[in-house]
Amino acid sequence: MLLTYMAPDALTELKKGSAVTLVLAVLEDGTRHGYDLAKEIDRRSAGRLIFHVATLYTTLYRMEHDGLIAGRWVEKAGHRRRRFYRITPPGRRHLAAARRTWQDFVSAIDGVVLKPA
Amino acid sequence: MTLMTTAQWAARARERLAPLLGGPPDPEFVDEVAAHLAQAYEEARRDGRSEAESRQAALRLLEESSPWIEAARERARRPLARRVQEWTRQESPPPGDRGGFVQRLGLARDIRHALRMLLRAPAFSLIAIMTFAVGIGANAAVFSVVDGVLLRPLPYPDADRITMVWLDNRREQIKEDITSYPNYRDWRDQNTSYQHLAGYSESAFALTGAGEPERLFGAQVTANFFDVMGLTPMIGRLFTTANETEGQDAVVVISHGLWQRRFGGAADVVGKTITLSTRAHEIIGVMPPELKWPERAELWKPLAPSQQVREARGSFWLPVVGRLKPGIGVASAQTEMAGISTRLEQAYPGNRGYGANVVALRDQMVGGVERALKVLMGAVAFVLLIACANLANLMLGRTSARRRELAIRTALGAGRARLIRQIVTEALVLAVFGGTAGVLLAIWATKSFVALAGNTLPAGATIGLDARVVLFAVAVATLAALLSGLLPALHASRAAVSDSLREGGRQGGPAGSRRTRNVLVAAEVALALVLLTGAGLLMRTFWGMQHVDRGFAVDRVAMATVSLPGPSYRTPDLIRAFYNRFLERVRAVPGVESASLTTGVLLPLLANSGTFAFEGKPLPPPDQRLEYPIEFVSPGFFETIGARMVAGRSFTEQDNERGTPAAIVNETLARSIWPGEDPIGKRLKPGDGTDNRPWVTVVGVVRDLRRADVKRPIRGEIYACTLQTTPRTQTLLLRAAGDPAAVMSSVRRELQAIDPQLPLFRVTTLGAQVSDTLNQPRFQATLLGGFAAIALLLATIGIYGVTSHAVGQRTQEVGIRMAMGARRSDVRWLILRQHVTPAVVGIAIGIAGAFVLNRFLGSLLYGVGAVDPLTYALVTVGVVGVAVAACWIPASRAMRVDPLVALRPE
Repeated sequence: MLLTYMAPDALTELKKGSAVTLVLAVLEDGTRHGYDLAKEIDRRSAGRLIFHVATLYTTLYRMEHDGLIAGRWVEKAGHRRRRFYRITPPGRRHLAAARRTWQDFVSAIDGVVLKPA
Repeated sequence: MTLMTTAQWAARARERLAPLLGGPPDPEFVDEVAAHLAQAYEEARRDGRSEAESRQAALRLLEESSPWIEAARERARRPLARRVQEWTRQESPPPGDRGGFVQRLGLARDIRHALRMLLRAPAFSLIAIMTFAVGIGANAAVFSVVDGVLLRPLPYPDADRITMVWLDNRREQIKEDITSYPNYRDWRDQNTSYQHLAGYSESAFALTGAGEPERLFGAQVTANFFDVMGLTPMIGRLFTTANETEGQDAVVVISHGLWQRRFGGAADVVGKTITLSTRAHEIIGVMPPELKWPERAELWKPLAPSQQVREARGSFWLPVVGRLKPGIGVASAQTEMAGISTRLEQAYPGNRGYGANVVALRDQMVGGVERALKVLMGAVAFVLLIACANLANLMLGRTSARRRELAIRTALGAGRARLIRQIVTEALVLAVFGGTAGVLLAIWATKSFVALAGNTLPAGATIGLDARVVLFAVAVATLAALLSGLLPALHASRAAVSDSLREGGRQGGPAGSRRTRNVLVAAEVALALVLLTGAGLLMRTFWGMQHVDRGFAVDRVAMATVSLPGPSYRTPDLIRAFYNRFLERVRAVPGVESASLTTGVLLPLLANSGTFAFEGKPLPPPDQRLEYPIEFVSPGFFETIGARMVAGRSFTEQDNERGTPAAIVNETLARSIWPGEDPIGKRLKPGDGTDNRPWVTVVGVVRDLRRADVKRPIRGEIYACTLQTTPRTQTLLLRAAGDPAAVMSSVRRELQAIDPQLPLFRVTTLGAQVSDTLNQPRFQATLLGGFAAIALLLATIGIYGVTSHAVGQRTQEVGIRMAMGARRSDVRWLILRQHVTPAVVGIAIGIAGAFVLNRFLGSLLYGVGAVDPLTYALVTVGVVGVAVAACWIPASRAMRVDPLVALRPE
């Protein structure tokens, strides 16, 4: 109901702002390359959050520039050369703060939406 | 249809993105896109889609191209360091792209590889770059001084034809003495070597009238002076020989600097009248900025000596400068001028003992400092060699750690030449970074050198960092890279070729490499030792000159000069009255302990001087008659500067125009004229004693004063009282209770109160005057000391590096020794002995080298020989100590090796 009302523009906005948080949350568990990262977000959101690939890379490069993540080329025998991203300590701090904000936001929305007056 | 490879995906991505970006996209970005597309494709295939469908699916990602563009642009915003790092990982250019010259030679690949290697070992790279920077920077800085002072031609047309012609005063051993007007006239008229021969006399003028009274330094010159310098005025005209007579000489040519400073560069300055030493002069021309002779001169006016002076062959006051005819050298001019002087000696008995000495103007300007600069250039070359030895050592260590990599490259087909090129390229890349840092360092260092040099460097030399200096730095950097890169390259490539034939191979340099590194350490120590002893000798010289007993105390003494213009102070009474009044008022200023007047305190060699007759002593023949400097001093002079009377009394207020003419002589004169006699009461007079001037009675003997260059022997000196003769120009000396500079403003006020037209000039302190005479030894000692310190630091790093590396390689050996029962102290002793030995060999070679090379310091030394045992001993002990200290730390580390750990298989 709420999502219908907000979608599609509001959802896009929300996604944009939370893209950084999403990437950090996925990388928190381990290093991943770009494609893998997109797949993982797709999997965890059960297909509801789909990043356009290039938007994903724009986000990744900006995050790397800001020092939240670090990329590194890895070449394994028999594998394609890929760029793997990992979360940095500033990235972890950023993620923790984003999580708190998100929980506050969700509980505020819940307070309004789930308890009819 | 075959499967698409990543490279093909990359080609697609590049081809689609390029037109949208307006250029080739970042290869790194393309790689990432390609990996992404390839994966999307493979996944689609795994999902069971057809080959065509899968490819479509992947390519569709590229079709919505604009977000990719955004990502590509984001990528381009990376910091520079990242981009360099990424560039080093770039593969060869795509087929079809033949690339530029650099690519074709494979240099890009080499440079890329070198950068990658250097980024991988940041500590090594940083040390290497800093070493290069110090070596190249020191060389560039000293070169910029040498270039400005020694190498650049003087700013005059055919400047190598300009020479000074000095009187060679064999009587007083003064090679560069000034001559008399009649001698100048004979030189000028009788020679065939010179196109023009000019005489000039440096003098100071008080510029009054418009604005603040100002003391200007200038010269009175014969009209052909400007022909000698080869310059014509920018504006206006020059004066002619017609102006060289009294009354016709009230014209003046001013310098470009004075024109700008005092007249704001106004075009109508020519024709203006200015007042110089109370006489009106017409400005008739402005000279271009190049004219800087005599040094610091700001105006030139005609030399118009009186008839009396024109005929006075015994009156020496004139420096002479000339322009040789084309094709005539200094040597042949010297021969001719000497010949003319010999004829003059025969014709005039008073001229006996006076020859001629021709000195090129360039040599004249840089003569004093040429040797010092050459020594410094040699010193920085040594610093560079040490830096190169250090770098070679570092790189040897590094290449031996990289033996596996190099062996693999050899096994894969890289030839020996290829490996050498790679390692030398690494050295060159380091040199480029080091050289850049070095040039920046040199900008700062050059400024410091010039500030430190003070008046040591000739005025008017243009010193600074320019294209020539940068070019020099580039040459030095290339040389340094080759010197330091070739040896490790040869070693490593030889080792790599033999290693590749063996399996595995232990890490660590072969015996040959260790020997090479020991030789390098020995060389570094030897070079550093030469520099240290040289610096030590110069420091002892400086210290000795600073602490020499001058016979007077310099603390808290300030000085300032006043010159009374002829027209307003016409009679001796007026002059005497002025100075009496001035002295009286200065003595009343609070904070002034004592004040007195003199005609010269620390004037160098061209003081007032003359020949004297001593009553009761036979007059020597003319060519053996000595000139004695004479100074006029007021009562209280010796007390003010703290000089001690050894006999008799100093001057009093009674030694005035009504009293008996009195003189004070120094110990040297008393000893040489009246050995074993009491000089008090003896009489002397100027000249040969035959004229009717009154005899002057010696009333006191003062301790010898070292008033000028301490290297010159002390001459006999005579002091007369300012109350009895009345020089127009006198210098006030005052001893203050506190800071001498602080009372000067009060002194200036007192002077203005008496005569507002008079400028107070040469305001300084005795301490500063003495310090100025020490500028050159200070400059030399500080610079050579600094370079020696750098050399020692580099050598220490070298010894430490080699020992540390070797200890690391010998962990197993040490472990075995300790397992076999060697004590820890035995181990340390073993390491110390083996690694201090090369340093000791270096010290021995260095001492031998220093014996030879320090002779070049020669005239720069004072009070200490070139083979001073104390300096050599101290330096040797110091260097041994440093070598032991540099080995101690690694040796102690070896001592703590746990035998079990050391013996554990790798």
